[in-house]
Amino acid sequence: MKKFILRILMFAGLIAAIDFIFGNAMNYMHDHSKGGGMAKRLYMAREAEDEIMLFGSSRMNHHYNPMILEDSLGLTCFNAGQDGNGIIMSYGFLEMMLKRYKPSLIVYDLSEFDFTVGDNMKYISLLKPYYSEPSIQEIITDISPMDKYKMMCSMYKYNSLVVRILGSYISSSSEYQKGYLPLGGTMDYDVDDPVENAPMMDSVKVKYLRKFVELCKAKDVELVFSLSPRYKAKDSSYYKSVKEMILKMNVPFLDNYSNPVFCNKRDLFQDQIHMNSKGADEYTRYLVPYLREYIKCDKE
Amino acid sequence: MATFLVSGLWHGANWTFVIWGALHGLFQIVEKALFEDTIKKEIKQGKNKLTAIRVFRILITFNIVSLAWIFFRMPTLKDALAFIFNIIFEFGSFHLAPLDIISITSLGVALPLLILKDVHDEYFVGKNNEIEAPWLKWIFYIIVFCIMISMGVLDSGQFIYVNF
Repeated sequence: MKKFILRILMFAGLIAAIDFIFGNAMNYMHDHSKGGGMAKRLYMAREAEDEIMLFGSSRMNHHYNPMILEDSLGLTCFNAGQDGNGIIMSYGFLEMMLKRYKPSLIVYDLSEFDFTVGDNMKYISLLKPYYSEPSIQEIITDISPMDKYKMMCSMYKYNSLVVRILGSYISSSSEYQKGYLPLGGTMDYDVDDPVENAPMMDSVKVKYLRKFVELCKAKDVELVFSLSPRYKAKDSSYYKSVKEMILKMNVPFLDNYSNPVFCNKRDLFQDQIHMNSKGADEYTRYLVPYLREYIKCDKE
Repeated sequence: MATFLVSGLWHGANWTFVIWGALHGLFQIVEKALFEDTIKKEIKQGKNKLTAIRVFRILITFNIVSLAWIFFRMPTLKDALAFIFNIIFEFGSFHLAPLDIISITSLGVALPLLILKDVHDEYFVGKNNEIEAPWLKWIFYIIVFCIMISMGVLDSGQFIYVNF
């Protein structure tokens, strides 16, 4: 029995030592990411000082061309959209950004990841490398209280990110253009009209939506919510509840979800949810005069 | 068939899961009815060489299992059938996404492991594979533990069955 306990302690000690070395190596490689999504998020967290910041899910990532906004509005712009993510992750990065600087305008493209019921654990995985930030610790332990203890283990902290960090450290290649990821394909099939049943609101996500708005107001940052087009959308009734909530908070809302200028043109979409680069360029240009209204006067 | 129908239904109260299970049940029945003796003979003779017949069987298995997955993943039966219809009748463009650095890195990690496994299966099957040296055993346990923690499915965010 004594020998067994000794072996367990030795095993734990070795694991702790390896974890320490692993953690330091991962921290170094993460903080020196050169390409890909890791470098994009590192820029967002530690360096970005763009005057216009764009937040949201893949629909932001692929629908808003920051170069067009820069040329038209005369302000620097960065697309902080992240595939498969929503308000929880965005709020984390917003906290880190606003600690360093104040953008003139934030545009948030709304998606189902921002308010519908679903597992919230997946939205914190890309925040974990930034756990040293108190604001990120708060978000992670709010979503997953046990993570307070699990995050002491570096291997857990970087779970499922090892290959991505390795790749981003080795190569500086990146498909991103100021955070924007253009989609090249075009829909060569047709689909039925989308049937979107009224969603159940997720109280945690709604909480972070409110916090996002409140933080922007507290820092005096102009915030606009947006709904970009969806192929064959008849209306934006799916977003009715969340849109009403946002409007009640006195935040402007640009609703182009079922805009006929875009929604019936298959050549502007790569699939029924995502516009391709041609669609993104046309949509971004369309938005320019509307966004211009919200740029703070002292920046014009 | 009963086993596979129940296994399909376990995944959710949707006809797509029932059909997925039923397809697997059907494939099993067909295989046992037509090829059971052949397979038993091959196992007895220890045949694991890659013959043309074996390649053909691997391809067939891969394709029919992929077909069944369409039913598993689509939200409704109508969507699954529309998907299959499009595979057969709608000839869209062939689009291969360029490999990004993450995919290349993943392949760089996964391919050597795959090759190692194939070499082991080809040349070391049947031989005594047990690690004897205690220090080697410890290294093995530590590596497995570290891989589990750093790459394993540890939370519901990654667990594909979380919705069931």
